[in-house]
Amino acid sequence: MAELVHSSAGVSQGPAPAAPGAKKAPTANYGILLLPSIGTLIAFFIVPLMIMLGYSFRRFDGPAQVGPVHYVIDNYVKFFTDLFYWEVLGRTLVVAAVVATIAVVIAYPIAYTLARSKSRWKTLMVVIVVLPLITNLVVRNYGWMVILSDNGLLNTFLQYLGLPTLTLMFTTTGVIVALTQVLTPFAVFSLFGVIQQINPQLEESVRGLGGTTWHVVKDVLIPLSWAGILAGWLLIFVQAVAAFATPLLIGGGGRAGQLLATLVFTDAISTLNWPFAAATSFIMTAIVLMLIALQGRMLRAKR
Amino acid sequence: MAELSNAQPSEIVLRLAGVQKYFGSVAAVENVELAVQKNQLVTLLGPSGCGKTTTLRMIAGFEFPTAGQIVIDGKDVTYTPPNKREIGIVFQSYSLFPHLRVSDNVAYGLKRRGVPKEERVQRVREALQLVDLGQFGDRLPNELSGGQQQRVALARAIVIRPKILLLDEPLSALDAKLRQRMRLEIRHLQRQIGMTTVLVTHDQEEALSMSDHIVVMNKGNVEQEGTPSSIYRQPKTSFVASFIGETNLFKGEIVHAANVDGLLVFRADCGFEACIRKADNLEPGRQLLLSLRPETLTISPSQGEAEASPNALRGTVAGINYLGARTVFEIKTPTRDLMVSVQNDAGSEAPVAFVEGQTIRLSWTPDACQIVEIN
Ligand SMILES: Nc1ncnc2c1ncn2[C@@H]1O[C@H](COP(=O)(O)OP(=O)(O)OP(=O)(O)O)[C@@H](O)[C@H]1O
Ligand SMILES: [Mg+2]
Repeated sequence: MAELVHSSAGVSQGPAPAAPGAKKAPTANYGILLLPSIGTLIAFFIVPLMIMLGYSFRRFDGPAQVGPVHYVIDNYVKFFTDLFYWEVLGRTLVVAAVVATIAVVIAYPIAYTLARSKSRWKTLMVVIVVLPLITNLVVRNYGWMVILSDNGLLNTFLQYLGLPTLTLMFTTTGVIVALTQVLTPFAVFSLFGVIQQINPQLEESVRGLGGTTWHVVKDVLIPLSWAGILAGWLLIFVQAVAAFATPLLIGGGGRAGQLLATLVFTDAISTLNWPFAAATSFIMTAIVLMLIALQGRMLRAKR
Repeated sequence: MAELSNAQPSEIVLRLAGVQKYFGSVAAVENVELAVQKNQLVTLLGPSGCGKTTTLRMIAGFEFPTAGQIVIDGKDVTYTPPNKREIGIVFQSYSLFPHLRVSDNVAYGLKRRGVPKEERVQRVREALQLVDLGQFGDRLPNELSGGQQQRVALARAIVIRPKILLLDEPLSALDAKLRQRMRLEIRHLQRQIGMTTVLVTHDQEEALSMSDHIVVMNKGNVEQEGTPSSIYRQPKTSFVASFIGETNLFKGEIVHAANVDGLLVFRADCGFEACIRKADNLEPGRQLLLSLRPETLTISPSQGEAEASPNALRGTVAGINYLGARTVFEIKTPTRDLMVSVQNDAGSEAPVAFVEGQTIRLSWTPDACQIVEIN
């Protein structure tokens, strides 16, 4: 009886006082389960990152480091004082932003269709969406070369239609097309979740109150999927900034292929200038982190 | 508002003619005829899956009929999209815009109609006051209780002054007490502003208490329509008799005239007999149903001398369900069990008057016997 009285009192007090007690016990137990992943994170992510941070302040004394190590900020100064690097930085950000924007725009109707579909073919549609992600990187890019090159499928087709041909291989446009294709699935999935949360009857409410399809999109879908739009955009932006294989293969050795990631790649692999590659990497990371912080603020402002 | 209530009572605002809706090969609505008069509250009543929501959605324009015609205010709108129909709809789940404040929710339809800002603000305030939520304009929907959200949805639908207000099970998400109150409130509001309304429900009590006119639906067809009391007192089919209210239903036939003038004897297949009023269409030998509402039966102690009644028999009390305002007895008779509902007197402990196992006398008048055609 005493127990009964006690428990009913606990319930009547509401969840607020009960929560700390109820939460504490499980957290203490489950914390242990997190140890392996935290350990892995420290050993294979945080520690290498720190080593790299150290590298980024080393003075570059030729590929084979001999003699004492000097710690300087020269690498960062070099990046920000040379116009060439500003140009690469600018191109990288523009390419990533364009890719992310196009991908989100393409992904939205796909995600909407998937989220609202009751079709038996839904699973098949999901497989088709992830196909670019599970296609081997080299195969995918050579596929694009076959399509985009001057005598490729696309131009043959355009010629057949009597239209002017396009130069896409080794251009920024080509890089954007190829990156958009592979990264769009990320936007589809980040949007799929939020769209599924939107009550379809809200769309009918808009129509019932006199709104058109445009009002459904503007007044219900976009505001209520805003978090997914931002998350998807950022996810793709970050990956586009970090992509190097596609820009190397489609963009080539010229300007179109010169993005931050390819720069790091050539510095680290060809010229073996590890300190400068590390510094460039950290500048990239800083930009991405700033954007993530900005996203957090934008989401909070919406609330 | 004045011109609304002075409107001709016979003016028909909404008409459905032979409306049918198939989803693939599934018939959701087979054939619905409906005429809704101005300022009336008409209820579509029926069991789950009988096509009420589908009918309502066709009136709103969210579904287009497979066949038939829908006319609003004399205009064929069968295939008109919802945003061009001037209807107000309240969904079962309210569907308030979760990211908009209450006042913006209510203002939405006015905005879409290009109503200027000042008038909008004014009309939103009036509508919120009408549903008793004058103070809640700045809240978000999730900061309101279920009943309050329900009223916001109502305000949002009526603020645009629609030609027809459509309500799809508007009270089903509320608890019993609140449901009772909202029934009265909606009915009151509907009368006050004079609003042609179509209500969908599977709750017969809701239908009986709120409607001017009830349309009973079954399996995609209209089973019977009429005023609440005519539906309750003169059910035309066994489905209506058993769906609306509780009843004791007997299958049988007229056997012969009774020894009392003007009465006939009905004998059920189970052997139960009752005297019923003579009527032209009641020839002996035809299979019919007899419906005896539980509240039309009278229980009295078997010992006491009883007034002469053509319909009386002995039974024993098999079960007692005390329901507050009334008590429902299960009475075992030689032929079959009957349900009897007795109004409880205030202050007296009614159920104690009879105890389980007690032998009692059961009687009823010939007028209590409703004959229902078998179909
Ligand atoms: N979009 C749809 N696709 C296929 N079948 C449907 C669809 N909508 C309704 N139905 C079917 O049509 C029939 C009638 O449905 P409806 O929703 O009109 O019933 P209801 O009378 O409103 O029932 P309830 O009281 O359960 O809401 C049901 O059998 C239902 O399964
Ligand atoms: Mg329904």
